[in-house]
Amino acid sequence: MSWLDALGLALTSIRRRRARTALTALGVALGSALLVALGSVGSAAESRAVEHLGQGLPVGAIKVAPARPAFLQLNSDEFETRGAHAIDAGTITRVKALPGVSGVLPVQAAPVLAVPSTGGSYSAVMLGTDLGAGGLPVTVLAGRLPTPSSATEVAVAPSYVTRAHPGGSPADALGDRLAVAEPKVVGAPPGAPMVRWFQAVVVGVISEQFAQADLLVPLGQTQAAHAWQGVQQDGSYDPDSPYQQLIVVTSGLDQVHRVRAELYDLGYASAAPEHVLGAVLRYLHVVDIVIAGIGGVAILISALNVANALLAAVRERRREIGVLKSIGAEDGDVLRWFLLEAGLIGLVGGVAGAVAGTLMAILIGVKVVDYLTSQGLVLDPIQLSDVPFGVLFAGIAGSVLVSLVAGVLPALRAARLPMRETVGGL
Amino acid sequence: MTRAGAAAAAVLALLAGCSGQAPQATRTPAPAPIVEARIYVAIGASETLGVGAQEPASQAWSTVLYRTALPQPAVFYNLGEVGATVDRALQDELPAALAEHPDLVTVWLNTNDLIHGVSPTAYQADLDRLLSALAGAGVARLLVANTPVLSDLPAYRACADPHAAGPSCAFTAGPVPAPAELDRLVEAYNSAIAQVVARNHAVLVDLHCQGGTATQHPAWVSADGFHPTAEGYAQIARAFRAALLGSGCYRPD
Repeated sequence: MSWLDALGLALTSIRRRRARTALTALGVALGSALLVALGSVGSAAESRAVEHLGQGLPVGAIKVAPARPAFLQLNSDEFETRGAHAIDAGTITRVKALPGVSGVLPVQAAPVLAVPSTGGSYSAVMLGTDLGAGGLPVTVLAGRLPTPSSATEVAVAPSYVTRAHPGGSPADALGDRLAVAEPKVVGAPPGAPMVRWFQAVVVGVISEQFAQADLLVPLGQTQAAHAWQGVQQDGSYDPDSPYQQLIVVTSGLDQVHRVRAELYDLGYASAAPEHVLGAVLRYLHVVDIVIAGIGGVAILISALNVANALLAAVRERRREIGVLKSIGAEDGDVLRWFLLEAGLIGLVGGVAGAVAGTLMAILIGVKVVDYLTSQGLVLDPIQLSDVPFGVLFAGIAGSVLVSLVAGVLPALRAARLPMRETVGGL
Repeated sequence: MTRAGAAAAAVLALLAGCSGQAPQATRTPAPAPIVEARIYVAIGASETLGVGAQEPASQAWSTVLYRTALPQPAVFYNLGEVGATVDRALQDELPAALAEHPDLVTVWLNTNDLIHGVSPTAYQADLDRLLSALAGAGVARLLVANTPVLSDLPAYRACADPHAAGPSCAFTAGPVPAPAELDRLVEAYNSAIAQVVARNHAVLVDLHCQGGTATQHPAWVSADGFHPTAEGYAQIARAFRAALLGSGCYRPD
């Protein structure tokens, strides 16, 4: 008997007992769905935690301040400073040369008032960086980034689109004129501020991931704003530093502590959510283990269900097995027939479970985000792209594999039935 | 939040005003610039900051002028100071203006001097010092606004009946002049402004020629009865624009 013949036989058997097969596959599907849903939610929770704690910076990013580190700097995620230390071009060169560093971005931020040509001004954070640098961790949703030397181009975050073009798409913002006001606090006590204005054209829309910036401009624009607005009165930072901050991107989370230690040796205070992120990831790992345990139990139950259904099928098909053997079928042919049937049930259940699990994950995500929003925490809901391919594959392949394993015992029993016993009732 | 951060947030909130209105999602075409200028500085008082408008920073006449009359690469410094007189501007605003090396400067400073009882002669001397310093620094275009009609402002009329509902009296720094006396004072101030403008080769922005706009267009005066609304500021910006074009007295429709 060929594999094709065995497959035809398995399909015929499935069609003959549709209800039982459907119920067995449903059991597999429930186990697979649970595994996919829990795996997806766990994975999304981990990525959201990393994103949230990273404050819009890439994973493994470290912020460096123009200040010397205090003694306990490496025990803290925040800047711990003990005096000013300018960040200049030499600093950038030295930091770039550190092992484990994959990128260094000098940045300047300024509090501004953005005034779209459509009206409705709003407070914003304007961030300037070296837009000519490669590997900028910015997602461009529409248009392009400003030209590095331009004084009249700006990229905006989606918050601008929401304000200036309610219900519109990022592309609608391209070409808009935007006026930007940079206030300067004067007098003691502070009175109405003096304001420096510049006008720019929106050339791009970026995601809000990059350091939570509302406006992204070339570094020169924020350096001009910094020169105008003056120094915030905080003696811990160097007011004359050419760069207000560096964002150091490491090659992975595991490199963060080592690079921070190197920065400490170079004499710079740094901040990165390594301790809090480590603690959160440890908790999430425990949750992952619990999730895997629950999924494993669900799969085990579905495996027992498959084995039970196939054992019943063996009892029902004794005569068919006998007839097959009497016309020359080997034990291996019967084994193949039952194993293929088990595998088909696992495949159908696995695919259905993967689809159902994905939908369950999205629904759970909506509920969780609703709850967190009511608690004042803004997170993106789970989307289709958040469901890891590995989890989907594990859901389907795992179902097939477990069904095959569960089908081994019934298949062996069917294959080893003596022909005399199987046709004895004829 | 640090103290500096809190101050910055408070400043931005002040600049933004209290508007929660959704903007109109229509893109207005960029107006053609009418003057070549790289750096524009506005010297003035609360009107230059847009006090009275719903969104002071963006609706002030100086901002409207900047956005509608100047080329896009131009940078604008609004140095206006609430309650500023010419004397105070000489100390606070002039040094900041000179530091930016502007090629276009607008000056609108007279009402606070008048309210504080500064004599037209003293005012003329102070204004002359201010404009001479700016002209001496090589400012290519210097626009100076005169005093509009004040006697029909609700905040002036309220001085006659302090207990009436509505705006309170704006003339709190000294004795309130009678309407005829106020008109004479405004005449004297405007005569002084015209002389100083001529002496320093500046351009006069004639806001007085428009007459009593508060009576003709009550919607152009804000709830305080003194400062313009956004609509009023837009008209003032048009007057400055007309002066830049050399069109003489701008009369609103």
